[in-house]
Formats: sequence, C-alpha cells, structure tokens
Amino acid sequence: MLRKSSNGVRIKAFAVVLMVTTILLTFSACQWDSSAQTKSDVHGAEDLKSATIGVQLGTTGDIYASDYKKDGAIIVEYNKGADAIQALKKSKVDCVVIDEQPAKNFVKQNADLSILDEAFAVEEYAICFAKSNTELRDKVNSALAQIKDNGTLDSIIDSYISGKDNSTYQYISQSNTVPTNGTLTVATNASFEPYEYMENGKICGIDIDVSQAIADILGMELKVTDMEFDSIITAVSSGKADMGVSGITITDERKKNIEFSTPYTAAKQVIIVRNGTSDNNAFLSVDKFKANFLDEGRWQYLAQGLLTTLQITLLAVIMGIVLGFLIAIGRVSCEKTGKYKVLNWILKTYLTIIRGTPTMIQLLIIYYVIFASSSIDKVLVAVIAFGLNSSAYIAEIVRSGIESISEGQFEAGRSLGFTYAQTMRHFILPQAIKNVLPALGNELIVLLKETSISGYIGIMDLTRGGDYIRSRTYDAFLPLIVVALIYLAIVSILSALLGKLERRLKNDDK
Amino acid sequence: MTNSSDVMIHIENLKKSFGDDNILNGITTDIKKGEVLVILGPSGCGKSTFLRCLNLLEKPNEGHIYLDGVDITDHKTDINIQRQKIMMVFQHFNLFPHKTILENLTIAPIKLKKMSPEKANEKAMALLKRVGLEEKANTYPKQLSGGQKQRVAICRALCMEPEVILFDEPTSALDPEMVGEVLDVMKELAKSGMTMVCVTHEMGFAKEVASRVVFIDEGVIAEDDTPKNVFENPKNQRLQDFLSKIL
Repeated sequence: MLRKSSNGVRIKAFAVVLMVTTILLTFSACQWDSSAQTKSDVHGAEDLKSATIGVQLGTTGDIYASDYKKDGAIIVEYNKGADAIQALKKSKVDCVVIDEQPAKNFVKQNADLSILDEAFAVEEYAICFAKSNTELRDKVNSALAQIKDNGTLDSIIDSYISGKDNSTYQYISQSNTVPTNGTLTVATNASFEPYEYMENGKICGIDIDVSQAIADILGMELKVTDMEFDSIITAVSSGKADMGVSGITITDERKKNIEFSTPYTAAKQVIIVRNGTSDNNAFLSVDKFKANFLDEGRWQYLAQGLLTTLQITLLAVIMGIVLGFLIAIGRVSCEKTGKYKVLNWILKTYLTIIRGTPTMIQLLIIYYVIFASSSIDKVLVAVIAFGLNSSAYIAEIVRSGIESISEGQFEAGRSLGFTYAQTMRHFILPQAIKNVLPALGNELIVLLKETSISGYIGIMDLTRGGDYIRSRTYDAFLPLIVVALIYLAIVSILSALLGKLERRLKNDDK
Repeated sequence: MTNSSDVMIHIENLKKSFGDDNILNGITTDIKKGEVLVILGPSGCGKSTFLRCLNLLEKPNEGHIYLDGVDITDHKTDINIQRQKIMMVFQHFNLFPHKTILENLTIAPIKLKKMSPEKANEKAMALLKRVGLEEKANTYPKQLSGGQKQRVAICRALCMEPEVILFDEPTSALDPEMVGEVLDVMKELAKSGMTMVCVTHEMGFAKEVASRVVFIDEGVIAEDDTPKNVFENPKNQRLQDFLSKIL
C-alpha cells in the first residue's frame, strides 16, 4: 500500500518536471525567434568579407566562402543545407552560400529569406568514382552521352526545375530492362532538393532519376544509400559505394582523391539572406504540427527511426554484456593469478583504445576502414561498433563489481571444493551483478543516446528521422523537441524498469 | 609409535614465504584420524598461514602435504577433489549472502557430490537441528547473529561429510556472549570423533578438548605436546612468555 502511493507520487513528480521542461524550452525557443526578424547586412558578394557565412560542410559553397576568411569573414559549416538555412533564420549567420536549386526551394518555403540577384559562382555537377574505378567511369560517361543525346537528361531536369512546375514528365525505369549486371550502389545526401530529397519515405530527385537512367542503360540494379555529404567521397573511395551522385561539383582538390564523370548539369552558387520580413512563424501551431508530422506521413520517419534506434541499442547492449563479462573475468583472473600476462596486456590495451577514442570515430573506422570492402549491413556495423564500445565500459563496471566482493567469498567457494569457474558463477558473479546493476543500467541509457550518431554512416535512426523532417520542413523546433522527448520517454521507461529490477534483487536477500 | 594407517595428514618440511618475508620455515608433523589439534602462537607466527596451506588456499613454496597418502602439493593432483575432504571454517564466517541458510548448506553437496536436492535438504535440516537453527533454514545470513552464522558455517562444512575440518580463529570475530555457543558445537563435534585442526585463542577449549597442542614460533614448531604438558609444564621459553601473557 505504502509502496503504491510512493510510486504514484514519483510518477506525478516526473510529469510535473516534464511539463516544466517543455514549457521552459518553448519559452526560450520563442526568445530566439523574436530576434530572427532583422534584415541581413549582406547585399552582394563584396559584403561577404565582413559577414558570418553559413555553408554546407564540404560543398563548393564552403570552398568559395572560405576564400573570404582572410578578409575577416567567419565561416560556419553545417552538415546539411537545411541546418544552415535554419541558422540563417535564427540570425546565427548573416547569409548562406549554397547551390541555386536547393536555395530556390528554401526561399519558396521561407518568406523571410531571399536570394541575392548576383550569382556567386557557376559550376558543374558530375558523378564521382573511386580513383581505381575508371572502368565504371567510362561506362557511365557513355551512358550519360546517350541520355544527353536522346533528351532524357533534359526532360528529367526540366521535370524538377526551370519553372515547369506542372510538368508531368516523370522518368520511369524501363520495365523491360532486367538488371543482369549486378547492383550499382549510389551514395547521396538526401537533403538537397531538388537533386536528392526524401519524399514519402523514398529518396528521389534529379540525381536519383539520372542514376536510374544510367543503371537502366548499364543493365544494373540501382541501390541508393543516404549519408552525410562529407561522407560520400570517403564512401566512394573506400568502395562502400560504386559512385557518388549528390550535386557534386568538380574541383581540383576533389580530383586528387576521386574520378569524375563528364558533367551532367551546370549550377550556380547563390547567396541567401534574410529580407527583413517576418515569416509569421508561430512556434507551436496545429499547422506546424501537421506539416512536421502528418503531411506525407512524416511521423513514419520517427517511428522507423525509433525502431532502428531500439534495435541497435538492444543488440549492441547484448553484445556489450557478453563481451564485457568475458573481458572482466579475464582481467580479474589474470590479475589474481598473475599468469597469462600477454592476455592481460591485450585486454588492457583493448580497454585503453576503446575508452580513449570517441565513439563516433570508432563507428567511422569500423564502417570505412575495417568493413571497407564488404557490403555488410549498416545496422550490423552500428551494432558491432556500439557493442565493442559498450563492452569496454561494461568490462570495467563488472570488474569493479567482482573486486567489490570480499576475498572471503572466493575462499569459501574454493575451500568447499568448487573450481575457480564454479566459484565465479555461483558465488562471485551473482553478487557482483547485483552491486553493479545501477551502473549497468546507466550504461544502457548512455548507449541508447550514443546511438544518435548512427546517422553518420547513413543509418535512419531516430535522430536522423528528425533530421529528415527538418530538411523538408525547415523547422528546427518541433522535430528536435519531439525527438528529444521520445529519447526522454524511452530513457524514463528504462530507468523505471531497472529500478524495479533493482528493488526486486534487493528484496531477495532480506 | 602409532600405526601409519592412523595418519590422515602428513606434513613434510612445509615452507611458505610472501616475497622476502619467510612465514613458515619448515614444518613437519602428522595429523592423526580423530585428533583435535590446537595450534597456538603469537600474532604473526604463521599459524593461520599453516592452516591455509593445508587446503592450499596458500600455495606452499616448498615441502609436501599428504592427505590419505595423496600428495596434494603435486601439480597433477586435482585439488578440487581433495578439498572436498578438508573443509574450512573462517574467522569471518564467509557465508554466501545471496543464498538462504539452507542453500548455503546444500549447494556444495548438490553441485559437487551430485547429491539429490531432497537428500541434501534432509541432511542440511538434520544438521541445522543439531545446532538449534532449523527455524532459520529459509532466512538469509544477514538476519543471523555472529554466533548463529558461525554455527551455520560449521554445518556447511559438515554437510560435505569431510574427513577433517580446519578452524581459522572461529570465535575471534564474535561478541563474547556468543563465543560459548560456537565452542559448544565444536566440543560436540570433537566428541563425535571428527578430526579437527584449530587455530584459536580459546585456552579453555584447548585445555578441555584438544588431544594435542602445537606451539608455532617464527615459522617452526617450537613445542608439540599434550595440553596438560603444554599448559602446566611448558619447556620452550617463548611458550612460557606467551602463556604468561594470555593466561
């Protein structure tokens, strides 16, 4: 009876905390918004010298804008064009230098932004390949020539751009071409409308249609994988993808690392600024909610993402626990007996490396270096990366748990005639686990949140799901807050379950 | 003097050191079946180390220990099997806190001697009854007093039906009023013919129950005699000093 009421109080207290947090976040968010209406001081390329310029990391806009650094300009690099646009809206930057077509889309959806008339630079987009893969480059070049000649390329581009908004042309893969020459894996960054973007849960856009047309000619099956823009070149040169098609501009710097096809289209870099009008943005409105979560079924990005996040976390934690226990027992046994010095050294080195490097770097190394040439499932890569990472922390948690059990317990077990392994299993580990359960629970929670970097290798996890919505709706507030609340809810449920388990174990020996 | 078949444990030139610290400097003695051997000695003389060498909780550096003629210091001997014949009762009880009293008693016979759980429970309950703790069978160690814990620890040892029980200062961690209840159990055990090796400071117990008293000083046996001779007519100077201090 007493227990029940105390539980009730806890739930109420939790609800209150949650509400207060949400309200505070809303207010502070509104604060930022009210400052977002000032007009930018940038009127032409000349003004960039003294401006704070937002760019997408690794794009040519980034390269061009960096030329102004020596004149005093500050360059802020974002992973996505949409993030740069959001920063511009919130006055975090004075202008954004970005490709013309995505810029047009951004401006169309944000009344408070305008494109400066003065074009900043003209450039050409091409498909990129690994240095060694000239064979595919030549094949693609001839395919490109073919679709240029027969007008397919122009039709595709026209269907997305150049004012023919009501164009009904749609590239349709010829159903009579059966892919017989294997798969063509294309790396792209689907937040670059109209070249590549997410719609109804699918990646589409000019580059995707062009890739499909090429794949059809080559008799290959097209497979599109989404990743961060600055990861595409790594993915292509490491063999993770056959080619990169993502509005990639030919530059001398890039030519050093990759091969380019002949250009398939030309584009301009433009400057986007705030025009001083208000885009009349209420923070929380039914419309906003509808746009972010209901239109095009966008909530599904979050639902799918959540499933992936939970899947990665669960499998990684299982792997982490199994490995962690083995490492911990290995370490304790080595230290206790003073034998197996080499094994102990290996384990110690493993722990030092895993705990001494950032999880994200480990994830990238495992994906791009260790599994570079195999077409392993990305979720599996994430499970391995997070599982290995977690194992190191769990190993140290479990080791401290084992060492917290008095030597007398060990001697009691051995003196009864139990072997070392039996003593561990029957007497030491059960007590150790009980002691470290809170720390293990904490590790699970940390791991769950850590998986939010899975997007770096192109996994559609919960965070990435929110990113997709942001890249389509240009609203930072709702998707981020909702993603945060989902993480918070999952963590709260996990904490409650762990608390229950702990109490149950504690009651055991009362 | 005695028939060699009466010898249960034969200890030969046992030496043990921790680093440069020589604890045991060559101990040779026999422990006979049914004997109650009490080991005395000043603090740090090596009496606990000697006891812990007998079941190899400490590995001797030199010398041999033969249990029923089997050299347990030999690498080829399966020490886990041999240990089942030599139980130990610890100063700090070392009961398993995550197991009930009954489980503390039955886990070793069930897992190691493949005794059926029913039979093990029956045996354990009989032992608990013998020490007056049968109503505690399903409680956990933390609910017991020190004296009760030590009585349970003795039952745990008995449940394995050992040939010899080693007692490592079994009453030193107890409140004075609980010492009696543990000594009573040990006396009863001695009367029943159990072979016992006890490191203890309970001189009353030594006088009354021991069949032989060994005084260890600086890692060697300094005196080895009947309790009557040791307490009433000590020959060794260090033993005389020791007794004058504690009696």
